[in-house]
Amino acid sequence: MRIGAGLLLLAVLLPLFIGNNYQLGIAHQALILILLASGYNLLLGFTGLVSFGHIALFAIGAYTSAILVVSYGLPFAVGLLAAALLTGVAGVLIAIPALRIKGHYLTLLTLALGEVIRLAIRGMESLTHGAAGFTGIPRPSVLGFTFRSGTELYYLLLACVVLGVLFIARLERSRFGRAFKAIRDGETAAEVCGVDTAAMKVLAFGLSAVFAGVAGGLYAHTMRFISPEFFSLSLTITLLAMVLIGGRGTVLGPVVGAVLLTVLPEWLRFVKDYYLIVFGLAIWACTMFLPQGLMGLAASVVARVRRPA
Amino acid sequence: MLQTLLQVALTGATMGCIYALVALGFTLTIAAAGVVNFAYSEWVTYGAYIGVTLVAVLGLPLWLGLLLTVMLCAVLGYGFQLVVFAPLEGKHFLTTVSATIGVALAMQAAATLIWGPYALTLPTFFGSGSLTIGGVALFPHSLLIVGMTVVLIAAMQLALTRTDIGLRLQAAAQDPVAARLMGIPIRRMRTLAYCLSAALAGLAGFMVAPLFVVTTTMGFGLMLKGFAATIVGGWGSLKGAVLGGLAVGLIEAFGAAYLSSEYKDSIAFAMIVVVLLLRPSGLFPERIAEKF
Amino acid sequence: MTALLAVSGIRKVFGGLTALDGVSFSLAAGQILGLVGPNGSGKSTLLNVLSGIYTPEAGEVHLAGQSLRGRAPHQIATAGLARSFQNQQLFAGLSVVENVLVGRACRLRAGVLASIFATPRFRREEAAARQQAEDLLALVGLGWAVGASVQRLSYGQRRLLEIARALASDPKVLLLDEPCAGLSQSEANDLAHVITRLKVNGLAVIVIEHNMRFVMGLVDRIVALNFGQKIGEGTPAEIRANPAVVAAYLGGSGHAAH
Repeated sequence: MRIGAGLLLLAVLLPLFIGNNYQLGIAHQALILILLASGYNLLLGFTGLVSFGHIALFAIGAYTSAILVVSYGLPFAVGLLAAALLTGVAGVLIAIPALRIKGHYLTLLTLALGEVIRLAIRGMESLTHGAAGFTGIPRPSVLGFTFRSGTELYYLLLACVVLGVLFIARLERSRFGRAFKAIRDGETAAEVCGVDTAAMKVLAFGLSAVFAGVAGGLYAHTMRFISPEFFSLSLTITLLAMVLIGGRGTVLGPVVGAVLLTVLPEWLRFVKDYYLIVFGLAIWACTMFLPQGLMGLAASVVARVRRPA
Repeated sequence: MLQTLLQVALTGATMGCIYALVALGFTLTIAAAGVVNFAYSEWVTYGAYIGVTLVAVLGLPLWLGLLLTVMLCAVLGYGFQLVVFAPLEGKHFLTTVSATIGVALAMQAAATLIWGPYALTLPTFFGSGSLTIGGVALFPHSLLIVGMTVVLIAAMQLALTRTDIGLRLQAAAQDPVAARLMGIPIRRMRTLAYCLSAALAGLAGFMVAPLFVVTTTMGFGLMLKGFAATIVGGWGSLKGAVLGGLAVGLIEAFGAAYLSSEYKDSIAFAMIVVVLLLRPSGLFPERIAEKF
Repeated sequence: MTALLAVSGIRKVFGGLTALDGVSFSLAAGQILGLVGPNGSGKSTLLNVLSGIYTPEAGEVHLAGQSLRGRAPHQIATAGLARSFQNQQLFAGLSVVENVLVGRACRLRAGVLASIFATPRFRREEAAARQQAEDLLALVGLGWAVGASVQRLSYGQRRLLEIARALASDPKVLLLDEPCAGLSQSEANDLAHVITRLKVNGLAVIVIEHNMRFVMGLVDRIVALNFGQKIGEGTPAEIRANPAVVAAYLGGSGHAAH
């Protein structure tokens, strides 16, 4: 709780220290990825379902909002709401086969589904403008107020992130959070204990998809340009790394992971070509030496300090 | 009409053999240790790059280049056993998958640093000419791929079912606990599987290189086809991997020729989705005795 | 005597091997039934059928007059049948009290939105569930471990936690698969005490246990299985005198002499 409040204070004050629009743009990206990674963590970290198709849901969200707002002239709020709903439905649809398919199969099924969806988006040129990408997406505007400056946009995104993270923090402490983790730790035992595992898995897929949809909608209106190439497997890997390095199954893990993996490449620009090598080896090292991620490490350090030997 | 049909079938069979080789190596680690290796793509890529280095840079003859490539890749597989698979044995599959993804990323970036961002080429054993028989163009290299795959699969089948070490490998794969009780060194058998798997990847990379060009991402596309072959053929089944590879190659070639070449890359993904939804055990599953 | 749990003609086959063959018995509220038999006689398979993990090829289970045919395990749990496992199945990533709260899952009604906005109804429900969980932990002697992680519990304590978790759903019938394995003699005595207290409140219990002293002192009736068939049923004294049961044990793996 205290760490969360500290991070929030930092985040609120951050625009005071950011000099230019470029850095503000990085901050925008980090906030959107926090939302995306937090939702992914519901599935991967809490429920233990390893989907490699999550980016496709992010793409569906981005394109839904972009198409509705640009091609049909609907307001931003409607576009974002539709993005959330449509991806939520898509998430539930993916969940249905996921009830029968487990482990590696689920991972490969979602990987293939994600690629099929991405290629379909590229193929539907009349709707999505295909490989050329979708341009001219307007900045978000709500009730006549347009978030035009980088700072205004920053606070809109921050508000969404705070709501999203609070949502997950509350959910974790309810019967749903417990059921998700119980499924992760022992599916049969959870079922026998009276947890409707099928319903809970569908719920986990649906909720994480809604997060992806909202993040996608916000991404489209923040970047103002989207193309199918952006939503490729390498982003899936980045997302996975954010949750793993931050700490899967913790509320703040994806927050820390998303910030770290958005900001680090910028700080490490001078190592250029070596960055990906470092990044790859960091993922490997994390699985070997930091299986619970940074937040897991923090939790065990706190526990040790509180209970001196 | 018939000529086109034959031509497409030949293209499909050639690619099918490559996919079969890729899927075979990929399946070996699944069968022997239950490990899905996302760094397999880089084993294939490195096979091609090592081949290019040995042949085009160092000027070794092709056959020697091939032999050395396969051996170096086997060493690579051994290295993976040391730093990835052995330490993570028995962990959740997400852990192993993530570790292999991490190493794959690092290897891909390292390949760009070592060999540069531009595509390289590897010559064939027969030059670049093609024979034309009955209006169908035949690349000798394609025939070599098909022949080599057939011989290799036959040899593997023999080795697995007729030799002592092959039988031990099978026993270790099917029931590690019982095999360990019988005194079969599981760890060494798994090491053997990783080395063999990497050698097959290297061979596939070396053989496919002359058909296309060598790039840092070439292995990734092939690995995705290998996934499809594995799913279509039946998880962890070597026979399934071969038949699945052929099926993916042929369906892809016919789909591209008669439906739409634009969607060629989605065909393999669509096959994964359809097979997993309708028949999760694959089209050619191996019969495993049901355990009580 | 009205049967709370009625089991009739259960048959379960695994790839040609008949694990259970026409097993029938019944159980009244407040009764404790011991399930005995050599290894591989079908005891655990029977519990798996009762809790819905396996679907039987034939036969029927009725709980309080309702058929359990075709129900998923969580629906059976909701109907009032809870269990512990032979090989422990705790949720390693949850604290001790959270494990018990998962056992309460099928009795909690708060929706997603109520949970997110922490409505008064949600808070009342959570507080009541937590109180019940702490009471159950105190009952099995784990009151000190409420917020601890599962890893800090000993083997025997984990068994007790599994039983507390099973009790959290307010079951009518409790199935215990080798609850004494790993427990010290004094822990086993405490457990017998707990089960007797629950019996007074009307809970029916089926227990698989190799510790014969524990079984004979606790149960009202015994059902003996061998090769998937019921070979005897009666009071502990009757079972001890039953020649078929004695023969099964002597001819079997010799587990009787504990």
